Amino acid sequence: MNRAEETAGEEFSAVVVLHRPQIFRFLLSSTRDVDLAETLTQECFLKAHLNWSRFRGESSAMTWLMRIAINLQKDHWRNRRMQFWRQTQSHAVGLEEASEWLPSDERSAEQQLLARERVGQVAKVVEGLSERQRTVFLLRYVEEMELSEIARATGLSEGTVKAHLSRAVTRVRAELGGKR
Amino acid sequence: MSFTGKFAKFARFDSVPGARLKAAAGLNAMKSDEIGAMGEADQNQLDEALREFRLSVHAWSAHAQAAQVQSASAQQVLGCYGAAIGESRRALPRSLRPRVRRQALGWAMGCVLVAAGLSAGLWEHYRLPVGRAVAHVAEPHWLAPAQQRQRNYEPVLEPGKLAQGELAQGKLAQERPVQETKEDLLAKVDSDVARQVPSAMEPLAELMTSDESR
Repeated sequence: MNRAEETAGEEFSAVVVLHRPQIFRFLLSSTRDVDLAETLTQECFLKAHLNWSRFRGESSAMTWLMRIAINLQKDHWRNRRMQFWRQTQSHAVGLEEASEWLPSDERSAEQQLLARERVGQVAKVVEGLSERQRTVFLLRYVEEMELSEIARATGLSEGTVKAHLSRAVTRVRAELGGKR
Repeated sequence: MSFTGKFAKFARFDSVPGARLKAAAGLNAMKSDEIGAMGEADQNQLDEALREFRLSVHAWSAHAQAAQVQSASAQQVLGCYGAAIGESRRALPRSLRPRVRRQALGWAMGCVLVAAGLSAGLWEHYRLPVGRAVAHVAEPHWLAPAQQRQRNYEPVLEPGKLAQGELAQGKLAQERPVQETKEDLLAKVDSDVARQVPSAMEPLAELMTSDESR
């Protein structure tokens, strides 16, 4: 192995260490299945490793990796040949399970309960969103990506990203307002 | 960068100024600053809910990852990707194994269900013709026309009536031997009485002769 390959390998290792948690988190919140998220994360980094030499740095490594992850997730759900069996075997849990992991932040029990309820409401809305709206929403409000980054990762225009985000937020707002 | 501020920037896309003005016109009694305060409160609540949602997803993911890589050290994870492609490919099936097992189980279950359905259908399809054929072979051919004639003359009974008729026939069959044994017993007693005490039977004999003379 020559020096250039060694350097590329080290660079890629650093990318894995830096971005793996974020990619896994996005896939977990999208699929709600720990096993599936883990598998897709591995596939994502395998694909990235195979194509690492072609990465020209036009966007950030994170955006590039996120694009691969989004495409893998799309491929997984769009392949409807085995959809019935997938649904039967799926270990997906409700996104409201995330509310169980809400940090307490030294709040009172009542405040924690209210916070959990709010998280459950948001999770319920997110589960009901279309695939694209959910992806945009999660990238924005969970991964805290900029709109331009989301547009590059999803392959949509910024206007479309804004529109999807707006609809998603409207639904969250309605849910929170209705349950008050 | 302030997280709340960033949320506020994009969470207000849906708030149409016209709609807010219409609402304000409809609620004349409410002052505009009160409406503003309500909107602010809504916004704060939304920001807070989104922040909590983000925190909870982060915590959930961290927990899931910790569980996944509990045994594997960070170097092993790195080695998985840092090594040659072949090694990466070899490492992949380990995580795929549970999924493959589940898929195999699903297929096996499906095959069993299909096989059961088919065999049940075939059984139902062949059971009645085979039964009829067996009955036809077991029945003597020379009896067939006579039985057919009998069947033609037999009244068609409904299942309930048929069951009742069968019950009645069964009762008759049970009572008949009892009656026969009673008649035999009476005849035996009469003959014994006539043999031992002939005079005792005379009144009966007179009655018989008087009936005949009449």
